[in-house]
Amino acid sequence: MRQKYGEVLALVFSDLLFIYMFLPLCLALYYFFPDTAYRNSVLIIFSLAFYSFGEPVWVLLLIGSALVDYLNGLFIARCRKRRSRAAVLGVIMSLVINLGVLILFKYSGFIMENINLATGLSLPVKYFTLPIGISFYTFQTISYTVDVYCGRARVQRNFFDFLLYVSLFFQLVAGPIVRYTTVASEISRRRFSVFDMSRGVERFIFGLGKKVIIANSLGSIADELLTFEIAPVSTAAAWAGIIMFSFQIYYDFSGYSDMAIGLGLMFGFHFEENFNYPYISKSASEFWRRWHISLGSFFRDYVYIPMGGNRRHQVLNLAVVWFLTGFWHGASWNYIFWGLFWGFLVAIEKLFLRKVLDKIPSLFGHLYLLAAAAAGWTLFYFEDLGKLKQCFFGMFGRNGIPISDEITMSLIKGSCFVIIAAAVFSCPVCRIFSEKTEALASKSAFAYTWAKIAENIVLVGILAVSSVLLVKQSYNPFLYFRY
Amino acid sequence: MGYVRINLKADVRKRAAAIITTSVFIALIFGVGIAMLILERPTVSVAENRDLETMPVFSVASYLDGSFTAKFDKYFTDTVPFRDKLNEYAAVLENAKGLPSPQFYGVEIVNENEDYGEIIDSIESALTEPVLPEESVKHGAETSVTSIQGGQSGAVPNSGELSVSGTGNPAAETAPPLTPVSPEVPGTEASQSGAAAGDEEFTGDITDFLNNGILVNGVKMYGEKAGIMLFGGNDKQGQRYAELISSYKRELGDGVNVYNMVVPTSVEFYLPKKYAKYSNSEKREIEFIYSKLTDGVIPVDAYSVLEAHKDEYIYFRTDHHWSDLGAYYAYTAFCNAIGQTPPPLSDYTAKTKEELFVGSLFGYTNDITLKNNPDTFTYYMTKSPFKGETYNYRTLTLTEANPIYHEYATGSAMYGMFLGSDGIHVKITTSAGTGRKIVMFKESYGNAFAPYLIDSFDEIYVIDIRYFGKNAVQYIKDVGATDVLFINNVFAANTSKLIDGIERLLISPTGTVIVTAPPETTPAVSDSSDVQGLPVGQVSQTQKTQQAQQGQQTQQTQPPQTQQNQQVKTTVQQTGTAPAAPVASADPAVTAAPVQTTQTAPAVTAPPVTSAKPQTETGSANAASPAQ
Repeated sequence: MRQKYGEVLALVFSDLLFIYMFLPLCLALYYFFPDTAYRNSVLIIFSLAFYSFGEPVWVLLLIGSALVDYLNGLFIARCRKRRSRAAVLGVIMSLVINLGVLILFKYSGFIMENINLATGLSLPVKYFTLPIGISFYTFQTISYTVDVYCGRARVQRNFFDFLLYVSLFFQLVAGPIVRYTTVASEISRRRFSVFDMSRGVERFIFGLGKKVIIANSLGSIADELLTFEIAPVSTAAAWAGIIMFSFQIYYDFSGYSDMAIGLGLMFGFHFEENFNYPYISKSASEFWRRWHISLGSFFRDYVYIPMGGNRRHQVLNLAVVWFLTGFWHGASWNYIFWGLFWGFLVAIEKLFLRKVLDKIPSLFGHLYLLAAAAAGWTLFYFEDLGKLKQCFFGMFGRNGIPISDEITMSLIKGSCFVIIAAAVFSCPVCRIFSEKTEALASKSAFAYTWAKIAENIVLVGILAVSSVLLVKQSYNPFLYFRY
Repeated sequence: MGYVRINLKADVRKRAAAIITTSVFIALIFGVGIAMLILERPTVSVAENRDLETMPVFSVASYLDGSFTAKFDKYFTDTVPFRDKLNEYAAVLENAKGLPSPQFYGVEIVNENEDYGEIIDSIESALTEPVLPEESVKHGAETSVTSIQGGQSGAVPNSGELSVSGTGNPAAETAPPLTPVSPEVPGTEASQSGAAAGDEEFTGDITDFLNNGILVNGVKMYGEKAGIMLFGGNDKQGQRYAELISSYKRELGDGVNVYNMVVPTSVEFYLPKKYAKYSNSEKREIEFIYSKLTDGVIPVDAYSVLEAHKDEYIYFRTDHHWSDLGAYYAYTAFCNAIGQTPPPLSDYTAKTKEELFVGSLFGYTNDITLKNNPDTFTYYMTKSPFKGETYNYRTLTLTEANPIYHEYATGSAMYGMFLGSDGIHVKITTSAGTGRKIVMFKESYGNAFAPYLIDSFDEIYVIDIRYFGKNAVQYIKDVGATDVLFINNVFAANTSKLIDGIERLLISPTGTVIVTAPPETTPAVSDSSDVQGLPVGQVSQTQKTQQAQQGQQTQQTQPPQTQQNQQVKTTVQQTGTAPAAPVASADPAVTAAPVQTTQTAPAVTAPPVTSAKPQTETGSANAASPAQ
């Protein structure tokens, strides 16, 4: 993803243009209208403008995708009303079109290349530029159609309301994958609450800080350490690089989700949480209940359970789900290996490891999970399998060079405060602080006031620091952009 | 009852807190947003010394392919009001991310460098070698290359890590100097055109040198933190350098002494041992070059004398050059070689600039450590009388007097103190009375060195290899030189583009060269053959073949020249009001010098910067080197 696509042309939340122009303008116009219908129009216009900031042509694909599933929804609803079994055609249509588009843009090059490799043919291989966010919104529209079919969701008869759901700029380009059922009622009726607003502000600013202060800093270190062209990578560099990348991808992605959830709250939407401190998990299964929750639960509800869950051919179901989880992240073998690697861990945990982990001190569970995560991210980082091998060799001191080097040490030392912060905030310290503060409200006015003042100072500080860093930063990628 | 009351109050408190948080945020994003709209946007960054992004022109096509919005976003962020101030804060914040630590800045080799490619190949092949020699395991990639390549200095050890720029400082990635300076001249033009190509071919920019990157903050020089350019080195080029100088000697014969001085740089004396593997030995490389000299070229050992004085302030901490003191010690070594006794340092008028000097290394790395540890700039002026003259390096016509010590040189261009610029040909006439005349071939290290020769030679001709466009051997004979000195720093002596220049000067067409043409009052718009002192017809007779080979190169050199003269005019106007600018600012090189620093480092001289654009855009008339 990083290496292949280069610079992503898109408006991102961590962009001065977004924070100080797009967002205020959008908020002002949105709250200028008292009526939800007008407000929805504002959101649609701003969402399409947001999306068109990158590659305007793909707006048509987005609208087309929304239209297809809007019609599928209507069709399924009509069939259901007549108790016709043709309703399933709507689902099939949705799957074929959505997955077809996804496969065409995201996987066709990879598939053709591997067919050529396997058969010795020389079919034409074409890599398309991936429309931003396609992996997210195709899943969202699929979830809608399936939910309508299963009766979990009511059909949406207003196209613009449905378009709003699909195009909502908060989650459009990098998730979370918001289910239609989550926001269905809020599309037509939202209540303004200053509590939502302030929580949204907090989430947005914390997300921004996670992204700009932590993820970008550690990400540039990871890239420096893991971009080895000529000289082999030292043990210290390989480990430090992977650990930095582990932090980067968590802070990057969860920061983005925080910002999306925060923005949603500012406009009256309540999205599901997407991350829940994954690195404090004690097992792979737990990790995946805390990491990218919206994706894990999508595959659980729309693939694993329909296939039979743990009732029949569970091993096959697991294999398929984890293959898809890996493949969803990118059209490259390393993502597939990465997915299957997690699937393997989940499977052996179900078989026996779980029982073992439950009996031994939890420290071992944590260590096991962190090691697994590091190994996983190594698979994830290198699309080039040769480099992947070199990195693993480096990690175990097999590259025949000293285990440490000055560059690695100086990089770590030069960002050590950020690294410590990254480690600390991987644990739920902020949540505990926030809970304690809220509890103070009814106990001590004095303490509550000061805690809130402190919180506001921290928020303004994060916003200011992030903004200043953004003036200078050129390294501002969103890792989950091209999924 | 009491319970309910407390809860009510708690609710009010929570609501108040929520309102405050919301209001603060709204006020901030709206306030800053409006400020960004109404405050004036900068167009130039003084600190980075570059023009900022401009507002893109809207068109349907550019909107549809996404380039308008992308450029607009860049423009919006790049021209944020008070950007330079904010960037300073950002640098402070970046610095606060951790403890002070050595920073490695990779410098991209911006111009395509064949040697670099070869080195990468060789290292790669070395890595794929199944069995590495024992010592390579100890020292890493670079030694393995050395052993496999049979003594070829490997260069670029760990350059995979070093090639990434801006260690721990993303800012450096945006730093303009790291982006290509000028597009590569198409081969045909570059190889044939002589002088015309010279300035575009090799700008003297740090990034043109084959190097291993820059280390900041891991190094101390004279008690303060410093930056150091790590030496890559390339024996193949070093050998070529030595062979070419030897062939000069062959061409010139016994009547002319040819000296070669390869100057070590700061990395050799101040790099702590633990970083030794990131830099190759300059001593070894210099000895290697000297060992390849033939035909009686006299090597000058500047290394030993510099090493003996390494506790003195002989190099800059923030610039890749040596100090004037370093140049003096090298001069004493040269005096030994030419059989003279150097005057003691006390014979010179020592002066120190009040303004502190932050040089090119800061320009490249933007590392705040360098800015916080500026250099003091001390220089030593000879008391002997002399007359300096500047000649146009293309036409060799006299343009004006050159004060040699350009004492008003300022900002990041302070090294321009000596001679004023690289892109000129300087002649110094002295009253030394030694009966010797010297032609000196140099890159910018030679600038500080040249004035010392005033006490040793009657006439001194300073030729910058990168700009001079005539046949050098012929020129040496024409001026009746008794001595020839090649003085280059060891990076330059290993860099193919500079060596190409030496070769070019050797093989470029011979012809009579006028060195004492009357000063031109009108800008030279005339045909270049005219200024060679021969009627047009005659030249085309004698030089027909070469000119035919050159094709229209001779003609092509003209437009830039005209532009240069125009440039001079405009800059004179602009700097005319500046208090520091002396009357002699008509000197094109001097006035152009700050202009040219666009690629080097933050200059304090704001006004001329605006005029940099037309010049750099045309890529011509590079009157001065950025890294003089």
